[in-house]
Amino acid sequence: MIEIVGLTKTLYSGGHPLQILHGIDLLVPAGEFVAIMGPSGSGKSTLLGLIAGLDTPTSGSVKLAGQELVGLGEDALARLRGRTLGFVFQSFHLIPTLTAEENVAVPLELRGDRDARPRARALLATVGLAERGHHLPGQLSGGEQQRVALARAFVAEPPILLADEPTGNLDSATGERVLALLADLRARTGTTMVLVTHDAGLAARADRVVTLKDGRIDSDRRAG
Amino acid sequence: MAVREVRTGWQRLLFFLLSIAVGVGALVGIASFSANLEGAIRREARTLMAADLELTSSQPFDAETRAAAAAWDDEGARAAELAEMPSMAARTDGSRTQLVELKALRGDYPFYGELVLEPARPLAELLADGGIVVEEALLLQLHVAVGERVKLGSRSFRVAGLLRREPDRVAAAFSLGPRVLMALGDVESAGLITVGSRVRHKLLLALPPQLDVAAVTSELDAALADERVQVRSFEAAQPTLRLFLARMRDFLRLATLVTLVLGGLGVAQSIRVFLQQKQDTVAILKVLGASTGEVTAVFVVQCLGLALLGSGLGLGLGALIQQVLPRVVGELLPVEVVGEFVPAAALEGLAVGVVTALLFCLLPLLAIRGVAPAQILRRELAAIPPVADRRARVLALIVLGGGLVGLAAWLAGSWWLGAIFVGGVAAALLVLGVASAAGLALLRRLPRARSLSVRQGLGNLTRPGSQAAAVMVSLGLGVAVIAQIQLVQSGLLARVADDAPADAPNFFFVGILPDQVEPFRALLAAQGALEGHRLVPIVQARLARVGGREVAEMQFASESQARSVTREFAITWQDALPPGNEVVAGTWWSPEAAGRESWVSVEESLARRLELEVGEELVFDIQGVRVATTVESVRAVDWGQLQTNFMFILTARALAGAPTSWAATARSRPGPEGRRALQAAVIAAMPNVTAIDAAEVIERVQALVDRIAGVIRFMAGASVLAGLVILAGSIAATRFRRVREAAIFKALGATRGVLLRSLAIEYAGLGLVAGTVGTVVGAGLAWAVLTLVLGIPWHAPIGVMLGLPVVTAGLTVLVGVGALLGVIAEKPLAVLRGE
Ligand SMILES: Nc1ncnc2c1ncn2[C@@H]1O[C@H](COP(=O)(O)OP(=O)(O)O)[C@@H](O)[C@H]1O
Ligand SMILES: [Mg+2]
Repeated sequence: MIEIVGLTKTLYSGGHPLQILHGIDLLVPAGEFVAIMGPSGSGKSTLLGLIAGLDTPTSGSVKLAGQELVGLGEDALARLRGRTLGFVFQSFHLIPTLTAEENVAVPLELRGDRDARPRARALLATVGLAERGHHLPGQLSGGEQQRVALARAFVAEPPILLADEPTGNLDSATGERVLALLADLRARTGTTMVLVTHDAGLAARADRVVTLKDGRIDSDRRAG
Repeated sequence: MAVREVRTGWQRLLFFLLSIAVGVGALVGIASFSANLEGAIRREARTLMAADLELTSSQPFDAETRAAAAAWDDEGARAAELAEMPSMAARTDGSRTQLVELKALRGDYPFYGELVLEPARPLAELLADGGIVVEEALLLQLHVAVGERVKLGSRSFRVAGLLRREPDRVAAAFSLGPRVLMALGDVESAGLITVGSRVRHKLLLALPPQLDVAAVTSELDAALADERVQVRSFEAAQPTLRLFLARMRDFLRLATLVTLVLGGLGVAQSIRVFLQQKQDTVAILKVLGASTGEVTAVFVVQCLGLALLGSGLGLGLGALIQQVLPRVVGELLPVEVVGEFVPAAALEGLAVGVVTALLFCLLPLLAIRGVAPAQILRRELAAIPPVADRRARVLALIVLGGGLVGLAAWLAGSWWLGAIFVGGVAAALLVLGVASAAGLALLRRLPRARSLSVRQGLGNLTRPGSQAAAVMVSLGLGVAVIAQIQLVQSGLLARVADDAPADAPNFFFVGILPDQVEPFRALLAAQGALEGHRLVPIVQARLARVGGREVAEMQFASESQARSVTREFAITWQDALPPGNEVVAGTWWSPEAAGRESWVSVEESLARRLELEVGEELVFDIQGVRVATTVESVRAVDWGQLQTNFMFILTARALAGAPTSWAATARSRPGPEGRRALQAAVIAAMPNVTAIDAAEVIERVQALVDRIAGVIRFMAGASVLAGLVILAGSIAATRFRRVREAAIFKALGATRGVLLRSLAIEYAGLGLVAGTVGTVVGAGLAWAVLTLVLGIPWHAPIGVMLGLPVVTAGLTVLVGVGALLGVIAEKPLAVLRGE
C-alpha cells in the first residue's frame, strides 16, 4: 500500500545543507498498523509529510496504492491526498472559520460529494460530538478538537491514515480516549495506518514498530 | 528599549509608514506646487499685465482720464492703449464664421513679456495697412491661410501672421474663442464698437525705474474723478484667475485631509495589530514591574519615530506629485511652474504627518492599560486584541476629534470651514461604518453557502478580527469621493448639454442695434428660426443710489463685495414677466403702468444683498445720466434656464431714450449645417452682431470642467491609494493565519484552484460591499450638491452607479489575491509540522 525506496531529504538553512533523512526504505502492506517511534528531531514528521506529499523529497520514491508521488504537480498531489489519505496532526489544525461539522465535511466537499453534511454529522456522532456540530473550533476543548480532526480524517474513508503524535498536545486521560477512538475507527474500516508516537503502550498495539534515529531506520520490529 | 522593540516585527510597521506617507505626500505635493505657482505668478506679474500698471474701463477713456495718465510722460513713462471685445470673424464668402476675442491696440504693447509672432517681425509692422495677427485655431476653423483675408465687422482684413504666445492672455481654457490682434484705428473703421459691444478699454503704463509703481498707482487712483475707471498695479494682475487658483488651492489642501484621515486609520490599524503581537512583551514588562505609563511611553516614542519616518517618506512622494500636478492642471495655468523644493511646505507636511499619526495612535495605545500581567499565562487569549475601558476611549475620541478639527482649521485657514469639513468626513465615515457593519451582518445572516469556496471566502470576511469593516470604511470613503466627483460632473454636463430640450434656443446674439431689430426678425424668419425666438433690449448701467444711500459713499467688507455692487449691470425693460421668473414680493406691473411709471423689479438675492425692499428708491447711472426708480417687485429667477436673465428689469418708461442694444436667443435649423447657415446669414447682414453658438460654449465649459474634475480626481486617487494601503495592511496582518489555513486545506486535498476561488470570493465580497456603500454615499453627496446647492435636477448615470462597485471589487480582488498568491504556493509541511 505504501512503498518507500531510498528516500532522502536535505534542507538548506542559511546556506548550509542539513540532511534530515538518509535513505529510508519502507514497505507497508495494506491494512497494516505501523507505529513510528524515535527521539525528537529524528525525522519522523518529515517522513510522514513526505508520505503525504506535503513536501517534495530530495531523492528517492514514494508510492501510494501503486501511484508514484515524485514528479506529480501540486494539484495532482492534492487530489491524490483527497482520494487516498487521512491525516491527523499533533496540533489538530482545524479551520477556525468553519464549524465542527463543516470541518469534518471539507474532504467530502472537496471531492464534490453530495451528501457530505449528513455523513459528517453521522461521523461526529460516532466520535461522541453529536451535540457540538455547530460549534466553532475555538469553542471546543483540545480533546474535542482532536476528535473532530479524527472524524475529518476518516470521513472520506481513505485507504491510508497518517497520524503525527495525535495525543502530543493532550493530557493523558484525554489522549487515551482519542486513541481508543482511533483504534476503534481503524478496526471498523481496516485502514492502513502509520502513526508517529512516543507512547510505548500505544506502540505495543501496532502490528509493527519502526524506530528512527538521526534520519535512518534504527530498528523495524514486528509485534509479537 | 524603544529601538529594540521596533526591530522585531518591523515589516508590519511598513504599513504605518505608507499610511502616513500617502497623506503627507498629497499635502506636500499640493502645498509645494501652489507655493511654486504663486511664486511664478508673483515673479511674472509684470508679464501677466504686460505693463507696470493698467487703467481699465467699460467706457472709452475721456480726455480727463487720458491727461491724468499722461502726467508721468515727461519723466519717461510710456503708454499703450487696448480695447478687448468678443467679435465675429468670417470667411469673405461668409460660409464659415467663428467667435473671436478681439484685441485692438495702439502703442508699444507689450512692455513686459514676449509676444511670439510668426513671421518674427515687429507687431506694428504686421498690423500696418489693415493687417491682423491671429491664433492658428481661427484659420483652421475658417479654412483660411496666412495672407488671405478674413471679415471682421464691416470690412475685411489680411491675415499678416500667426500669434503663438501672448504674455497677458489668461489661460486658454477660460477664453471664448481664438485671439485676433488688430490696430486700434481699424476697429473704428470696421464699425466694431457700437452701443451694444462689450468692450474692455485698457490703458497700459510702463514706468521708468526711478518711479515707484505703488505710489504712481495710488496717486493716479486719487486723481481720477471717473469711478468707472479702475487702476491696478502689476501686483494685482489677473485678479479673477488668482482668486480662482487660490480657491482651488484651499480646496485641495482641505481635500488632502481625507487622505490624512484614511492614513490615520491605517496607522491605528497597524498599531493595533502590532500591539496584539506584542501583548506578551507588554505583559512581561508589566510582570517585571513597569507601570502602564512607562510601557505606553515606550510605544509612544516608537510611534513618534515611525511618524517622522513616514512623513519623511511622504516628502519624497510629495516631490513626485509636485512634478506630476502641472500635467494634470495643464492649460489652467497662466505661467510655467518649476518643481522647486519648498521648505515651508515640507515642514508643514512633517508636522501635519506627525500630529495625525500621534492622534490616531492614541486610541490603540490605550489598550496597553487593558493588558493584564497574568495574560502571559493564558496564551489563547492573545488572539483577541485588548481594549481600553470606556471612559478612556471616549476621552481619546474627544482628543482625536479636537485634534482633527484643529488640523483642518489649519489646512483650511478657518475654524469654521475646518469644523464643517471634519464634521462632514466624520459623518461620511459614520455612515460608511454603519453601512459596512450592516453589510457584514447581512453576510453573516446569510444561510451558510453550499459551496466550500463561497463559505470559506465569506467566512473570512465575517470572522472576528478580520478588519473587513475597517477596510470597507476606508476603501468606501475613497470610492465615495470619486463617485461624488463623477456624478456632480456628469450632472453638470448633462444639464448644460444633453438635457436641454430639443426646442431650447441654441444661439445667443448680442449687439443688435435698435434699427436692426426688425431686419433681424426678418432674417430669423428667412432662416426658419423665428419660432420661439426672444429679443430683449439691453442698457448698460451702474447703481448710483440704493435706498437713499449714495453708492460712492458706501463701505464694503471686501473688494469682491464692492465689485458686486459697483460693477456695470446689463439692465432691461419688459412689459411682461419673462418666463422662468417669479414675483416673490410686490406685484408685476400692467403694460399701461409700464408706459407711465419709473419702476424696477429686482432679483431676490441681489435685493437681499442690497437690503432693498419694495417701495424703496433705486437710482441708476446710465452713462452719466441718473435715472430714478422705485422698487415695485422682487423676483426669484431660475438661473438654470438657458436664456438671458436680468438682475434689474425696469418699466419701458424708466429707460425711454437710454442708449440701447438688443440681445436675442433663437434656435437654428437642426444640424451643423443649420447652425452655420444662421451664423453666416447674421454676420453677412449685420457684421456688428456677435453670435454665440451654445454648442461651442458647452464644449468649452466641458473642457474646463474636465480639467478641474481631473485635478479633483487626482486627489480622490490619493484617498483610494490610502484605502488600498489599508487593505494591504490588513492582508499582511492576517497573512500568518492564512498560510496555516491554506496548508490545512491542501493537506485535506484542496487544489490551488479551490483556494484561489475562495480568496477571489472573499475580496470580491469586500470590494463589492465597499464599492456599493461608497457609491451610495457618494451619490448622496452628489445629490445634495446638485439639487440643494446648484439647483440642478438629479440624474444618475447607470454606468457610474454600477460600474464603480464592480471596478472597486476588481481592484480589491487584484490586490488581495495578488498579495496572497505566495501563500497558496507555499509547501504545506513546513507550516503544519510545528508545535
Ligand atoms: N524547515 C526546517 N528548517 C530547518 N530544520 C528543519 C526544518 N524542518 C525540520 N528540520 C529539522 O529536521 C530534523 C527533523 O525534524 P522532524 O521531522 O520534525 O523530527 P521529529 O518529528 O522526529 O521530531 C530536526 O532536527 C529539525 O530541526
Ligand atoms: Mg515531529
